[in-house]
Amino acid sequence: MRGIGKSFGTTSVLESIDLTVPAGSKTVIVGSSGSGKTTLLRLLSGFDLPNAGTIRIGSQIVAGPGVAVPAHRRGIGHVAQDGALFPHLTVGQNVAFGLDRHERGDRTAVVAGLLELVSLDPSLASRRPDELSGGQQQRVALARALARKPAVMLLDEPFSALDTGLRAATRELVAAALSSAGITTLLVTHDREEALTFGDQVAVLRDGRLAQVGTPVTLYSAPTDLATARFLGDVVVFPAEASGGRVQCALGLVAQSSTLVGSCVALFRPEQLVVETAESGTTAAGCVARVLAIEFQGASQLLTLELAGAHPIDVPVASGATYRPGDQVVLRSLGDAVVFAAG
Amino acid sequence: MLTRLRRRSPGAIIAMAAGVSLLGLVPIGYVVVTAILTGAPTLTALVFRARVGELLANTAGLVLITVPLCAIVGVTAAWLVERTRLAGSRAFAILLVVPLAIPAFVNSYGWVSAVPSLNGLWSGVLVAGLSYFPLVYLPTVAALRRLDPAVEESARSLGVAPLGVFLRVVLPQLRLPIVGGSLIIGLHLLSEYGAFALIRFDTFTTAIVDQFRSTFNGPAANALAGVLVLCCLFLLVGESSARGTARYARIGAGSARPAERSRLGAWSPAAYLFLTVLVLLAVAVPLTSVGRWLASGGIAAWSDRYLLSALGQTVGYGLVGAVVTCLLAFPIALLAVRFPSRVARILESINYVTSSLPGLVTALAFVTVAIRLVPVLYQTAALVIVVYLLMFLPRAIVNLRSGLAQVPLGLEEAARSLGRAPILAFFTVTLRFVMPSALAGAALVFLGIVTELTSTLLLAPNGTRTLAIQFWSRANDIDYVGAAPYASLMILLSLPVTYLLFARSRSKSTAVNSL
Repeated sequence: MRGIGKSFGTTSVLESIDLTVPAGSKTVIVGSSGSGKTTLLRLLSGFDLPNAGTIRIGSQIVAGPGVAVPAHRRGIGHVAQDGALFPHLTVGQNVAFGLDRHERGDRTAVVAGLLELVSLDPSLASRRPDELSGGQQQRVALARALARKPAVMLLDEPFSALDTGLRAATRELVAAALSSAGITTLLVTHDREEALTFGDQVAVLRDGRLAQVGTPVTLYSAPTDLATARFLGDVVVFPAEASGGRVQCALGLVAQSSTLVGSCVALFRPEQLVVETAESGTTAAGCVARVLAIEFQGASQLLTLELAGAHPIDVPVASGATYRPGDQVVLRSLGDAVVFAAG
Repeated sequence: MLTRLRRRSPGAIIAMAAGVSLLGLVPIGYVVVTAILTGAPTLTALVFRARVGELLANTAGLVLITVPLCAIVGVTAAWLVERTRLAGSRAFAILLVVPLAIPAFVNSYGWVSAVPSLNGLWSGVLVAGLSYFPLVYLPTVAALRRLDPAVEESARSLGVAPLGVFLRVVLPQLRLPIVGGSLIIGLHLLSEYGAFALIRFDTFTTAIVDQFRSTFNGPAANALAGVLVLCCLFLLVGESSARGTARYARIGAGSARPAERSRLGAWSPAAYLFLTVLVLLAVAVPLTSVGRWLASGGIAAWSDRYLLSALGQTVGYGLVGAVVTCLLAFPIALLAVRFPSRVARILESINYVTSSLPGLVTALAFVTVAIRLVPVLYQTAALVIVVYLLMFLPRAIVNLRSGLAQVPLGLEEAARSLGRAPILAFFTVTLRFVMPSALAGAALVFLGIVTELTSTLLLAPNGTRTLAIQFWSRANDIDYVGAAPYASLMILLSLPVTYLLFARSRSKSTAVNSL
C-alpha cells in the first residue's frame, strides 16, 4: 500500500497510509474504533475504492489511478466481523460457496477437509448457520474464505464478538490454520492483547494515519509516542530530565537509549517496576514511596504509591506480601526507560 | 402480570378468541354443508361442465401469468429503487406504492374508459398486474433494507460476480417476501370481481356474482364457490411448501450499514424506461382517467345527491369495522404472544385461512346462514360488519402481535412493583405501547373496508350506498363521469394508509405484508 487516502464526502478517514505486508506473514492493524481500520480493510477487499494511492498484491496493482479490480477478481479472502454467513444456506453450502464448478465433484470431502482445518466437526456441514455458536460461525466463515485458497486473507475483528475464553482459543486456532496454509494475513482489531499476540508485524492506526509499524516487541518496548505506548499497554509516566543515555526522574537516574536531552517524559511498563519493603531494601537504586491504597485482584494486588515529586502511581505486585496503607516501600526499575519529549 | 394472567385470564381470553375463530369457521362450514346437502350427483353435474372448465382455464391462466409477472416486476422495481444509484429513486419509491391506493376496480375503470376495447385474459393480466405488483414490491423493499450487506460482500470476496451475488445470495434471501406477496396477489386475483367484470373477463368470482344475482342463492353459485375455495386452499398449500422450512434469521448482531448501491452505467436508460413506463401505466393512466372524467363532469358531477351520504356511510362502516376488528383481534394476539400454545396457534391460523377465502364466499355463507338460521340479521349492517371482520381480521392480528411482542414484560412488572394492580399495569403500560400498532392495524382494516366492493354488493341492506357501491353502479352503467367523484374520494381516503405502508417498508419494523 502506498499513499492510501480515503474520504467520505468532506470527512477524511484515511491519509497517506504506507504499509508493506511480507508474503506469508501475519500483520495486525490495531486502532480504536473510528480510527479507520475497517475502512482500510474494505479498500483492500475492493468493497470501497481509495481516493488516492495504490494497492499492490504481489506484482499486480489492484487499486490505484485508473485501476480498480473488483472484489470478486482480487483473490482476497475476507472474514467479516460477525462471519456474515449466508443465512439461506447450510454450513456445508456456505463453505462450498466459492468453490469452482469443477471442484464441486468431491465437494463433501473438500468441505469436510476445510472444516477440519478450522477444527470443526465435519458433521456440522448439514447444520444451519444460526444453529452454531458465535465462535463456530467465525470458523465457518474462515473455512469458507480458505476454500478459495486466497493469497491474502483479511480478518475484520473476527474475534470481538466472542467471549474471553473462546476468543483466545479461536485466535490460536485461526492463526495456526493460516500459518499452515502460508497465507498472508491482515487482521484488524481494537484489542491490544490480540494485536500483540496474533501478528509478526503490528501497525497502529490512529486518526486515519499509521502511527507506528513494527514487531509486537518493538512496539511494546519502544513505542515512538506516548499515545501508542498507552494504546498497547498500561504505562507509568514521570516528568524527567534526560542527559546522554540517562534520565533523571522520581525513580532516580535510569538508563535510556534515546539521544534526547533536557526536559522530557520517562515511561515505564508497570511490570518494569519492582517493589521491595523498606527494611530489606538496599537503597543503592530506587526511591522511597508510601503505600496509599491496596486493591486485591486475585493473583496480584495493585498498590497505589505516593512518590516525592510525582503523581501517585499504580504498580501491580504478586499477592502474598502484605502491605498496609502508610507502609514505606522502595521502588526500583528494571531495564531502560523510554523517553519522549515533554509536552 | 404473567403469572396472574396465567392463573386468571386465559379462560376469558381463550373464550373470546375462540368465539371469533368459530365465526371464522362459518364460511368453510357453509361450503362443506351445502356440498353435502346438494348431493354428489347434482354437484358432479354442476361442477363438471364446460362452463366451469372455461372459468377454471380463465382463472388459472390469470393466476399463472399475473403472479410471476408481478413477482418479476416487483422485485426488479424494488432492486432498482433500493440498490442502484438512479437519480430520483426516492420519488420512484413513493410512486410505486401509489397503485395500492387505487382499488383494482377503479384502476380497471381508468383503463377501460381510456381504452374501451380492453377485454379478455390479457387485459385482465394487464389491469390486475398493475394493481397488485406493489404487494411484492413493498415487502421486497423492506427485506432488501434489512439484508446484511456484509453477507453480499462475503460472496464478492469469494469470487462471485455482481450478477451471481444477486442470483445466489440476494434473491434466495428475498424468498419469503416474494412467495408471501405472490400468495396475496393470487388470492386477490381469485376474489376480485369489479376489475374483471368491467373488462368483461370471466373468472369464478365474476361468474358467482352473476349467478347469485340471477338465481339469488342457487346450488350453481354454491358449487362454483366450492371450486373457488378449493383454488384458494391450493394456493395456500402451494405457498407454504414454496416457503419451505428455511429460516432467514439474520445471524449475528453486526450493525446494519446501508447496502452499497450499484452504478448502472449503460443500463441506466433502460432502468429509467422501465420505472417510468411502470409508473405511467400503473399510476398515470388510472389517475388521468379519473381526472379527465372529473374535469368533463365539472362542478355538476359533485352535486350528486348521494355523494355526501356515501362518504358518510363508507367512513362509518370503515371506522366501526376497524374498531370492532381491532377489539376482537386483541384476545387472539394476546394469546399468541403471551400464552403461546397449540390452541392459540390453531385459533390464530383459522382466521388467516378464513380471510384468504374470497370475501364473496364469506358473504354468501353469511347470507345463507342469516336467511336459514337468524333471519333478524339478514340485511343488517351488523352482518356486513361481521363479514368485514372475518375478511380483515389478520391485518389487525399481525399488527397487534408485533406491537405486543415489542412491549418488554419488565415494564409491566416495574409498574406493578410501583404499586399498580396487574390489570391496571396492563392498561396503563402495555396498552399505551401497543396503541401505535393497533392504530396501524385499524388503518389497514379501514383501507380494506373503504375499497371493498364484492361482498358489500351481496350483503348490504337495501339503500346502502357506500362509495364503492355508488361507484360501481355508475361505472357499470358506463356513466364514467358520474363514477369519477366516487373514485377520487376512495383514492383520497386510501392515500394516507398507503403512505403508512410505504413508511413502514422503510423502517425496521415488520408486518408490512398484511394486505
